[in-house]
Amino acid sequence: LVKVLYQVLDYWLNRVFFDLQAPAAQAAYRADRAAFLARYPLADGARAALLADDFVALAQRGCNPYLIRLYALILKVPDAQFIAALRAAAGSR
Amino acid sequence: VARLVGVFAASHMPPMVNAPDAAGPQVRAEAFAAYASLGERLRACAAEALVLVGPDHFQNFFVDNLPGILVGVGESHEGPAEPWMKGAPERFVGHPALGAHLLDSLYGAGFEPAFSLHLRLDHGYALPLRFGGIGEAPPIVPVVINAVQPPFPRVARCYALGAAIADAVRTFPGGERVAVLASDGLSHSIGEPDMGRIDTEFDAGFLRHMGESEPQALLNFAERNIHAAGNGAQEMRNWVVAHGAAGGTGFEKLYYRAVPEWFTGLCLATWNLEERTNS
Repeated sequence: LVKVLYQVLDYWLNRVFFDLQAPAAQAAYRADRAAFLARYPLADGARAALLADDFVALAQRGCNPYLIRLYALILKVPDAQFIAALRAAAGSR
Repeated sequence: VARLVGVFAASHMPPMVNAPDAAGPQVRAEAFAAYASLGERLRACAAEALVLVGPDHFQNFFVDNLPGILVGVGESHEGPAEPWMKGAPERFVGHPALGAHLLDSLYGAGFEPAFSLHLRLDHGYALPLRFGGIGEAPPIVPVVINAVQPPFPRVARCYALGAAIADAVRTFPGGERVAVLASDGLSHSIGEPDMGRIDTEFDAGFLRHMGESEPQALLNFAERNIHAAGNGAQEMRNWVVAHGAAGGTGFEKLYYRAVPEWFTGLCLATWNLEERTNS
């Protein structure tokens, strides 16, 4: 199993997940995702994965598992779909 | 001085709130009844203060400032903000005097926990109280153990922390009745590819060691195996804290069932405290 150590965490990607716990941030994100993400110095790959709802690509990056789980809950991604993406990402590593 | 009148441990699982029907009716009935039974025991010990050992699921802390161990010393604590926790208390009453004594005592015992005057207690704290039917909890001193981002406090330190918490209770001026409640796992995996897997072998081994009153064997087993039991199993450190608070003996499993539909090995336990622990 992959244990995400802080050395490989994508700080700003995880910061997006963390900040999105606030209802106001969720509303802003839903209204204009690109504008919301423009506040963060995200790596291009992370920004593209967020914009495309690409959970496989997100899971391949340095995500804390609890934070990507929170993000999936915020986006109301069905559990089966979320777990399938995690497995696909792990399988491609 | 205060007395340690009860030590308890309980799993916490969001699906029991946001997707209870994922499990069948018999599992639901059993699980909810087991929580109610734990709650009765907790109420029966008439605690006037509760040291609640739990995790922080990124409600308070992020990787820009993430304490390994933290004591909540505030007069009150916010309730859960997680959207699926509707109906949870908006705030919990704190116990600043016991919190301050605990914090200072831990420094004297070789621990340097962080502290907080204002915490948000998430589902990890609220769910065992809710399912235990604890409508109005006694004043709470939360002890937060990092279980969400490595590195984690070593299992042996968690055991020693529990002993130090019990010592602090027994030197707290006044005659209050204090209980300890640990909240977590057992084996589960969250946001990882094996989400839904429950390491029943780990759970069985952990519970067996808890019951054998040989703390060193338990600590060796847990430190060696905890990482393979799912990332959520890191929260088992909280049970080890409770075990240390109880003096490493008297563990009694009240209920265990692996519930993959809720992603977790569900377990509830208490410790039978010997009189000597209060003398």
